[in-house]
Parts: sequence; structure tokens; C-alpha cells
Amino acid sequence: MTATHPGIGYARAALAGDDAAIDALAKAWLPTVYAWCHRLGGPGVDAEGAAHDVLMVMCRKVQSVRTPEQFPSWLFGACRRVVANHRRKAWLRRWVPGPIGDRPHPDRGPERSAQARQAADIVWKALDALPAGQREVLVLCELEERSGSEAAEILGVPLGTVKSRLRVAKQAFRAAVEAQGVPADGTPAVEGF
Amino acid sequence: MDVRSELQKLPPPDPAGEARVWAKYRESRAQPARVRWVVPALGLGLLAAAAAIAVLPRLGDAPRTVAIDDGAAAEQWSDVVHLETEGRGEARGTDRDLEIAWESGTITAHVTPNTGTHLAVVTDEARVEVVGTVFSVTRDKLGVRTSVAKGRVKVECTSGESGYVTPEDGERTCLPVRPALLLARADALTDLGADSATVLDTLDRGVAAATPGSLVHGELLVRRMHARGDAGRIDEALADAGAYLGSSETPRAVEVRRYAAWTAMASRGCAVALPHLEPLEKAGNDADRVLLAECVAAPDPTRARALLERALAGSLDETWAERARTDLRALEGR
Repeated sequence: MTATHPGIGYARAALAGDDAAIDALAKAWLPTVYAWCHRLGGPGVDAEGAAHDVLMVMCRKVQSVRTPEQFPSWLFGACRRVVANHRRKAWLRRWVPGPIGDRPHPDRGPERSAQARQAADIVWKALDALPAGQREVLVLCELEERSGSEAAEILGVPLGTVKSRLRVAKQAFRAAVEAQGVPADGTPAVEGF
Repeated sequence: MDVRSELQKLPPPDPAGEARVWAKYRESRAQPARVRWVVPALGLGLLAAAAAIAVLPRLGDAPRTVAIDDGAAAEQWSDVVHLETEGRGEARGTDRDLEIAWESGTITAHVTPNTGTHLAVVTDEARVEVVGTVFSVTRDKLGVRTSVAKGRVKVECTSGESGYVTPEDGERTCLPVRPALLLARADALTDLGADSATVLDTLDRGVAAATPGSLVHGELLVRRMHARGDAGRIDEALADAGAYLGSSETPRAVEVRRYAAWTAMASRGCAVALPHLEPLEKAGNDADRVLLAECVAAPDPTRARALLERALAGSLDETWAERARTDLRALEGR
């Protein structure tokens, strides 16, 4: 992870006090941070706002990171805290009028979009039912397809913990999906289709 | 059901969102810090006040989730629940119906009695439920320990035991259920100087729970062999040694053979020790060879002499060297 990410050179410079490198670091990590906020926060969380907040935290506190190699793990921790705060506040948005929906997919007609949205809703709900630690390991290992070692480095836990947490998370995820009435092939039944 | 393909059903992040985040980031970076904070803070304050006036009566009904990170912290969850934490977990629920998934460390919950509040702390090993009390739950290598300062809690251990805990009961421990955690508990108990019965109880549970042939099962057998031997249960210790050596994963075979051989030699004689001593002629050390020589001296003095001479040419300490020389003289006197 740290050896292959393009932002690692910027991290080294930012830690050394190079202010310009902070912007380069933010740019390099923006896609990753945005994806983490989207996947860990779920549909109720403003992923763009959360990603912006994570980057601003990074600007203010990056020099507290001890080594460039620790930067990914540190950034994930910052992301975890920001997303947790956004999740906590998300319920307030229930009182704000206005729809919160997915973008229509360009390759799908309205029927397919409805079906895809329902399938996504089931997965979001299943993810939301998991404790944060299990949700994180599923996102890193299954959704982002990172290796166990990468996930362990990012989460700051031993590899064995990642493996056992992943096993439990998969079981809990399956149970949460099946609890929503999804048949074994994983296809939700859509009324009218 | 394939978890990965299920997860792929989630919509990807909006690609245009990255550009918007970047634009907002550039804007925030360009603004002086005072302007950046004062205006949003005022706006946020007004918004919070308006929201509070509008929805305050319903706040308690709203389910919410709070992640608890490592480090000491206090959380006033509601007017009837106060949490003090030093560890990691996640709390979710409403003001009066709260469940805490606790991963590690200590959590102390203060729940105002007679408010109809339901609070549960859940770990892999236990479920602790309360209605009006002050109690602590600690999860560490020893298991999940519950103590009650005031009131009464119901503890349901995953291993099957359940019951109520009051302040007079002291600490109630739910043992780990996974073999690796039972192994860690046994080691922690040994480090703390716990009595052998307690250590052996944990090891028995671990051996029963572990998959035979796995590394954890082997480690548990080795620990139990030592614990049983130390407690004078020689035959059972030798049975553990045999079970370990009979399994497929035996990275500690030499250590186990030596322990079994020496223990058998001391209390059961050469007939029992010899099957463990023989493989140590090649794999073991010079002291093992001295013991083997003593066991084979009667039926095969030539081999015993060769073993003793080889041991003496090796790296015996003075005590063992003297013992080997004595054995050799006895053989020559025959």
C-alpha cells in the first residue's frame, strides 16, 4: 500500500513541512478518501462533505504523522472519525426537505435503475447493520479488493485480526442480506418486474 | 451468496463529486482561517438552534450510531445514560434503548434507575443487559469481566452460563469461546500466577474447542502437557505429549519429546521414556543422549558407550559431563 501509492512521495514532503506538497497529497488521495467516505458512510452521509472535511483535517494535522509509511493508516483513522461524526449528524437531515436518490445509470432504463436501486438499498442496509470494524474490513478487502496485509496496515491491526474480523463480517453480512428476504441467488424480488 | 458480488451492487461514488470536493477544498484553502470558521460557525449555530426548537421533543426517538475510538472518553448518551469508555466499540440505538458492540477495553455505564431504559453491552463472549444501574464491562485476554457498582445486571455468556450480577457478587467473567483467545487467556493466567486448576480449566476448554491438527490445538496441548505435568498428573501429561506428536503440525516436537522423555524417566522409568528418547538421538542434544545411554545400557552396552562418548565430546555442562563419566565408568567396570 504505502510502497505503491503515488502520494507517498508527497507525504514525505508534507511531513517535512512543504506546504505545497500538502495540496499535491490531497489531490493524490482524493479519490481514495472520497470512496472511503461514500462506502463507509452509506447513502445517508454526504460523502462529498465528509471527504472535504477529511482533507481539511489532513491539512491541519498531517505534520503530527510520524513517518510517511504511517500516513495511509493515519488518514484512514481521520476518515473513520469524520464519517462517524457525519453518520451521527445524518439523522438531522431527515428533517430537511428534498429527495436523496441515486443518480440514474446511463446504461440502464428506468426498470433496471429501480431494480439496481433496490439491490443497492439491501446492501447498504446490510452494511449499516454491521459494527464499524466489520464494515471497514469488508469495504477494504471485498469492495476495494485489497490484500489482508494492506488492510491490516491501513486499519493498524494485526493480519490475524483482519482475517478473523473479515470472516465474522461476511457471516454477519450474509445474515443481514438474507434477513431482508433476499433469495439464495442474491437477486431481490422487485414488485412489478 | 458471494459477498463480493453482493457488494458490487452498491453504486460507485459520483465521478463528478471528486471535482466538486476538490473545488471546495481549493476554496477552503484559499480563505483566511478566521473567515473560514466564523461565518460557518454562526450559520451552524443558528441552524442548530432552529433545528433544536423544531425537533427537540423527538430527539430521544431517533436511533443514532456513535463510534467509540481508542482512548479515554465520556459520552452523555442521553439524560438517563452516561458512558465512560477506555477502549473501542460502537453504540447504536435511541435514548432509552441502546446496544453497545464492544471490541476491547473497559466501558462503564451509568443508567438512571426506573426510567424504563434498556441497555446491553455485547461482545463475542457475552451479552450484559441492564435496567437501571452502574456497571463496568472489560474485555481483555482473560475474557469479558462484568462488575456492578449499583443495581443488578443480567449476564449471558456465549459459552452457555447466565445469571444476575449484583455489587456483592464481585466480578463475573465470561470466558472466551474461540480457541486462540482461550490460549491467550491461559497464558495471561499463567503470567498472573493463577492456580493450576483455573489454568487447566481454560486449557481443557481450548483443546475441546480447537480443530484437531491445527496449530492452535497443538499449542493448547503443549501448554496443557506442561500444566498437567507441573500438577503431578504425569499420565495425562504424557497423553497430551502423545496426542501432540501424533498430529500433523508438530513444530515443537523436540521440546515435547524431551519433556515427555524426562518426565517419564523421572517417574515411570525407561520403558515409558524410551519411545520418546530414541528419536532424540539425532534430533536432541547431548544430555538427551546421556539419558538414552542410561536406558539402553543393560540390553546394549556397546551402543550406550558410544552414546556417552559422543555426548562427552559434545557440549555437556559440568553436571551432565560428570554424570556421563560416571555412567561410562560403570559400563567399563562390567
